[in-house]
Order: sequence, then C-alpha cells, then structure tokens
Amino acid sequence: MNAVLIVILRWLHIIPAAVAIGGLIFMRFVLPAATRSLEEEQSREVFLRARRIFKIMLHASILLLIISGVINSIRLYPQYVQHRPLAMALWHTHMFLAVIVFVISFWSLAGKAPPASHRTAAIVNVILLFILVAFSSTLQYVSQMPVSDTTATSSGGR
Amino acid sequence: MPYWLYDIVYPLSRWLHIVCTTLIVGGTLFFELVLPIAIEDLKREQQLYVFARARLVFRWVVWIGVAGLLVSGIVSLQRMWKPYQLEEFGYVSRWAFAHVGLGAIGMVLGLVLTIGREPPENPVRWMRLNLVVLLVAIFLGSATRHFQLSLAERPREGRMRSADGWMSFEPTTQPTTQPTTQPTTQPATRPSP
Repeated sequence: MNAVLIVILRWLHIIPAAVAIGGLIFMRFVLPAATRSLEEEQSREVFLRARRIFKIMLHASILLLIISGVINSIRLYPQYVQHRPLAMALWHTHMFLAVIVFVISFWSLAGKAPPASHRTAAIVNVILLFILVAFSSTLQYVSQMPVSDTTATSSGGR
Repeated sequence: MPYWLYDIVYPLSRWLHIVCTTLIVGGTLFFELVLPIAIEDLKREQQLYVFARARLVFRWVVWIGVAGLLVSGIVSLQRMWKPYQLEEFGYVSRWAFAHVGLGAIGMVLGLVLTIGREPPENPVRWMRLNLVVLLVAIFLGSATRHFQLSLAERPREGRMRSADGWMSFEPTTQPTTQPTTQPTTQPATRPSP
C-alpha cells in the first residue's frame, strides 16, 4: 500500500480516538465542573447542546475508526498471524472492547435526553477506552517482536 | 534492562503517549469547537464565567497530559537515540525530530493558554492554532512510526531486524552493502539489549 495512504490511515485512527477519549473526558469531568454555578435549568441546557454536537463528532469518529481500523487490520493481518496466538488474542480483545465502547456510546447518546445512568456509562467508557488503547499498544509492540519470542512466551516460556 | 522490564516499559510508554495525546487533542477540540456553541445562549458574563471555569479544570488535563507526553517521549527517544545517529535512519530521524519539535510547540502553547489567572487575548484563536499544530505533530508522529517500521522490515545480514533490535544495534557492524533478497527465516531469538 502507498506510504502516504498508510500514514493518513494511521493518523485517521488516532484523531477519532482522540475525539472520543478527550471529548468524553471533557464532557464527563470538565463541563459539569464549569457549569456547576449556573442555575440547574441553564446547566442542563448547556449540557444538552454540548451533547448534541458531541454526538455528531463521536458518530463521525466511530465511522472513521471503523474504516481505518478495517483497512489497517487487513494490511497488518499477516503480521498478527505470524505472532499467533498472542497477537491474535490482543487483536480480538481490542475489537471486542471497541464494539462494547461503540454500543455504550450509541446507547448513552441516543435520544434527545441522556439516560439516567449516563454518568456511570461515561466513566465505564473512559476506563474501557484506556484498556482498549493498552491492548492496541501491546499489539503494536508484540507484532514487532521476533516471531519465536511471542510464540515461546505464549507456550509457557522463553 | 531485563527483558521482562523491557516488555512492560515500552508498551506502557506507548500507551501513555497515546492516552495523553488524546486527552490534550480531544479536550482542545471540545474546548474550541463544542463549548462556544454550547454556551452561546447564555449571557455574556455567564459565558465568560463558564469559559474561565472550564479553563481552570482543563488546566489539570493539559498538565497531566504534558507530563505524560514528556515522560513517554523521553523513554521513546532514549530507545531510538542510537539508531537515529545512523546514516540509514537519517530521514526517519528528521521526521522524528520534526514531530518532537512541533509537539513541544503544541505543549508549550497548551501550557501558556492554561497557566495564570487570565487567559491571553483571543484564547479561542490561539486554541485553534494549537489544535492545528497538534494535528500536524500527530501526523509527523504517524509518519515517523511508519518509516521506522518500513526500515525494520528491510533485510539486514540475512535477518529481519525488529524494533527491539534497534536498541542493541551497533554502527560498527553495519555492512557496506545491503542484501538484495528477502530473508527466508525469522531470527530465532531476540538480540540482547
């Protein structure tokens, strides 16, 4: 694949991730603290407006994450196969967590008003996103290791 | 460094670098794009108050993010410092140092925008500029990573080098000519760090 395209796809995977993680943290921790002294009605109105815009950004980010993720996975799949089973386990866990995060995001951003437990859902999503990034970082590291290292580790020793 | 520690430190530093990047970039994006629209119905004084409060809270996010980026960046640079001295890594190191330079500018801008009781004039405009700087810095980081990996996939002395191998790489062992054929086998063990 063209080098420029590979770099752009990598970039297009990081930026939506930044929008999702950074935006969620801002929405959950910074915005409530900033609007605390407003009247309850005003504070809620600000939150709902922010939520509407964040919903559009997050949905676009999820679309970009899926597109770039699928292409990156197809491109890197042979490497993951070489480092089977460790890389495959990490890759599958990364995707599984991503699906859970997407479902929670869609659920908590659906409708005009947030569900009652949207704060808890946001915290769970932030934690899952951190774990997801940890899996992806480890996967990147593992897929660069010599093949025998990962296969030896997974079969009980080096 | 023992292998087990090496296997913990480098994935952890990569994780820290990505998480801290997302904190700063996503937060700045939210601050610059979402917040102004969310508060536009409030009175002017209330808008200023919410902005000031958001800036005070976001300061912690920026500071934690910058600290994490510095620590993880230093770990990565320490790992790659020796290979960057090599001639064949010349263009990779230029991408890397452009990433470091622009990232540093972005971090300084982020700190300047959140330090002190009063924000600078036109804080949203400065934030927009910072966002562009950060996005370009991430692009440079992505390019650096890609070129590093492409270089690692090239054969050297009939063996595939890995990212781990760079750490123990010695310039004196560099052959004068590059092998032209792909290696048929993977290295049996990891080179000693």
